[in-house]
Amino acid sequence: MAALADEIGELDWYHTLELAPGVVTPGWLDPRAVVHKIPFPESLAGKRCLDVGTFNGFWAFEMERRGAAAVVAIDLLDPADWDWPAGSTADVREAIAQRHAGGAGFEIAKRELGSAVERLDRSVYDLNSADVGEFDLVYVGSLLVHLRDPVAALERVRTVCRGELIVVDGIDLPMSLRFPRRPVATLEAISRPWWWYPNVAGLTAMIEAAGFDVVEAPRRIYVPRGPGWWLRRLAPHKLTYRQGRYELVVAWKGDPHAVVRARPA
Amino acid sequence: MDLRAKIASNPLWYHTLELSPGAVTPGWFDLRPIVDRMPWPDVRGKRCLDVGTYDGFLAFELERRGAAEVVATDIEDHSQWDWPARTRAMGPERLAAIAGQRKGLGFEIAKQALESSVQRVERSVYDLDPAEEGRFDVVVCGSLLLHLRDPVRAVEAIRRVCAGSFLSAEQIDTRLSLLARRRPAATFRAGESVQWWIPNAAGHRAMIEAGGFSVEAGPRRYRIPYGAGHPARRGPRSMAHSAILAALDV
Repeated sequence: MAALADEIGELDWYHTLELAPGVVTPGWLDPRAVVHKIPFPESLAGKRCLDVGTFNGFWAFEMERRGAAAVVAIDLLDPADWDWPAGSTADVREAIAQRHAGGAGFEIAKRELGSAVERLDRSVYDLNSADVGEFDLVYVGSLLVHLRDPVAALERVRTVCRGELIVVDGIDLPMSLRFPRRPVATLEAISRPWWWYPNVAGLTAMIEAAGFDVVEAPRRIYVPRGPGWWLRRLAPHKLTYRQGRYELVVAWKGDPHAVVRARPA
Repeated sequence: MDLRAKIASNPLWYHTLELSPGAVTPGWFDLRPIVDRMPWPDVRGKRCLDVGTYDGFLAFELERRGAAEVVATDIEDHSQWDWPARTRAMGPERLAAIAGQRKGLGFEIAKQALESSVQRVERSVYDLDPAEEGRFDVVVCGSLLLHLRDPVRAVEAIRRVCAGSFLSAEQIDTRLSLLARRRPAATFRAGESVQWWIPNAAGHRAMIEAGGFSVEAGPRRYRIPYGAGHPARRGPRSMAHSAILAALDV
């Protein structure tokens, strides 16, 4: 048990996962609190499921726990292959690569959970059914904001999806409130692989543009930050600038996401 | 065939071009009133590239301004547009019914009439390659990024063949520019009419910077009037654009 705690302590964690009773990874996000808000089918029995951009594997393990017949999880293990904007510096790349640690967290979690999830080192842009087969349920979580071409990624997802798609991705909250119907997206693309932040209407439109029909009205959720996301000094002056307001929302409610359930058109 | 008959033989003119005194093409867009408002770099004696040239207005303008050599690129046929999933099957045919089978016909007529030596190359912006086209002192690209599903990838490709200045002139969303003035953002058109991202002025700038340029001048805003051929034309109409002059960010 102490050995596991040490092993956990050596890594930066993205997901907060309970690996053994009382042994919890200090994740950046804590999705445990929002699992009940994700519109998974009643039963995953007999279903083949795909988790796209799995990182520490939270959603892949969740689908397995819900009885999926098989779960495949993909991730791009070498951060050099991610979509970096021009002008990103070596120190930023190193810091983010270290946080990802080549996907080491997934291996520890898989071992501790006794999971049979199969992880493949694949880019979402390269998904094709000849390689990975087709899936009854595809889960895409907190991934699209990191892609320069999110619609191309969703089109690739479409080629391997024979059932249902659940997208739970980051949104621009102020733009969602200001523009309830017009699809818009904020472009970050400065230094780190963070690109388009759509409003809720924008995320929905992206999914439709890739050849899906949205089957349930999209919902806003807030994924709480975990113990690994430490925000310093939540002072009132944070209200005066955009990143500060975002941090206040994260501290108060969690990271703004939208949930969209869709089927191939 | 005389010039007027040649002009009439092209089913769709995108640019309004005066090919000889009094012989004006019925384009969708008339850049003549605004062309001097764009922040042009000095192109005299330079090797220049116009990306997504269509009927060639900006390529001929580069030549008129004294460029030593002008190359103009465009895609070969309508199937190469970034069609969205839903219209991919039928879109190219429908476009051919409006614009004709061949995209380069207008350019050819204009080049001959203007006795221009602009060289037209069929190449997608995504595939620009210094090993094929070489590098250019000045690259211009007008009203193209809005038609691309991945505009930043296109700017990255332009950067690969650009050794000096990049003049980017793109349609902007005025409402988004007003309502979200400082936030780089874009309206997502989801591929409707083969339009994808229409940025606000800050978003246009962010796309150029994300592709590896630093902005030297602009954004300068202006409105491009519809030409005589535009189907939506009922009286004077125009569309907001912004132009940015950028250089390599190294």
